[in-house]
Amino acid sequence: MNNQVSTIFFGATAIFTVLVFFIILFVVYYKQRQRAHLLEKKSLQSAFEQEKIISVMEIQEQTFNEVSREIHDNIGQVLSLARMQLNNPNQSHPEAIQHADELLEQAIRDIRSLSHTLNTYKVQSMGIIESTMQLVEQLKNTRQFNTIIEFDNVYPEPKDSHIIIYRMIQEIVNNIIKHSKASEIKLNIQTRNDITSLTISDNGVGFKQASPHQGIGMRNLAERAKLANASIEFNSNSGNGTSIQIKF
Amino acid sequence: MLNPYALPLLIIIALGVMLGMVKRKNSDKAFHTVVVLLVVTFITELIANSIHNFGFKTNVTVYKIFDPLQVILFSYIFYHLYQFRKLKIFAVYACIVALILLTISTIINISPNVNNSIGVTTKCALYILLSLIKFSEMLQTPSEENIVVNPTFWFCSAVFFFFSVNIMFWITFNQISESAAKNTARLIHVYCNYIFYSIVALSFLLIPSKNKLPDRYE
Repeated sequence: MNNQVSTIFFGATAIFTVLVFFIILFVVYYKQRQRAHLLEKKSLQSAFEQEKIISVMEIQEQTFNEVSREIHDNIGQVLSLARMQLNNPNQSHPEAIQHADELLEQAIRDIRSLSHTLNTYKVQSMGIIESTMQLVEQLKNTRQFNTIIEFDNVYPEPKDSHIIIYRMIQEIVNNIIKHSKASEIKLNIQTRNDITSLTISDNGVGFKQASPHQGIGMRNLAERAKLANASIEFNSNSGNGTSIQIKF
Repeated sequence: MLNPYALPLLIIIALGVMLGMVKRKNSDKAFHTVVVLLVVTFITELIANSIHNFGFKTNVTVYKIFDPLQVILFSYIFYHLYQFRKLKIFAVYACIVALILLTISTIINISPNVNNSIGVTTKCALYILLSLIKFSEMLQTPSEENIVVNPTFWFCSAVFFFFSVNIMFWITFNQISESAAKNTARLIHVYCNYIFYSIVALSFLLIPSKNKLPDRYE
């Protein structure tokens, strides 16, 4: 073999070896990165699951507190009043029984309403839109608020995360009832491109928005939205009402 | 009469085109363009290897027409293979720069019978760069699927391998004086062509069927 031919052979072999070595090196390094990436993903997933469990427990705790407050402040008071009516020696017997009966009926109604509010299965079976509409119906029945609901006909697929979203809606409505001093509550639900957007607005006193996650309540809502794979946007100014939009 | 080395190459490219057509429903824009590139290459090689029959001395002009087209198609393939927007923009600019350099070197090297080795070296450098960038992007965003069955990995490896050999071939070819050594270099180049187009054709086979698509495709 002459000199140039052998040089070409050696050169080509060297180049081939280097190139194949480069590709093998790439595959090995890629596999290492892939393993690290999978580990990171797993740890993120477990952290997320942990956060979810903590949040669910927080929601439960909050619900227990609300139930306890409701039983103590409302149902307990009504039942105590009924007991007083029945034990009052000054009142004539049939009137006392009649009054006590009315109070007991109110207590039963309140327990039923409380049970409906807490029922998770109902939200899962009815879907988030139907449950929200029922919530609005309950608000209408109080006759304290002018309630307006607007929605188009597209219903989102039921998901586990909808329980969290429904609890968020309940909390927003409760906050309006307790703190907003509003006379009108407006709900707008629409679905565009598979994204359901739910806006709850009121004409109440509103609040100053220093930062988007101001206050524990707002931070809680934002965290829950994150867990439910949803986004939440607060829009409020002192004296100009509040508008909260959840997209899921 | 066709060059004896051209026939296997044409068969491999034709097989690649057929596989690409079979898998076209499952493949993305990048691999659709690979099919177009193979069709263009097939026509070019067919003309280049049979042009002597029509009285032409060399087939250099055929490749001079083919080169800019190949640059555009390769840039378009990598444009679609890249995930990051800045890399897509880079592919567009790299394509424009390579086309300008190709045009300038063709004008300087005006004779139709002289090979435009500067232009060829430029395009080879461009393809090596584009494939190396794709490798680095793959390292930055590792997916859960096995890299060895990833068609993009094999396509990039083939491009990197073939054009690295090609660039060495074009740089050293003019320095070789002995005809036996020139023939050996040509032979190595021909076998590299076979390997490159075989890997490109086989990468079509690795494109997953729609009912077997991993999560990220759903």
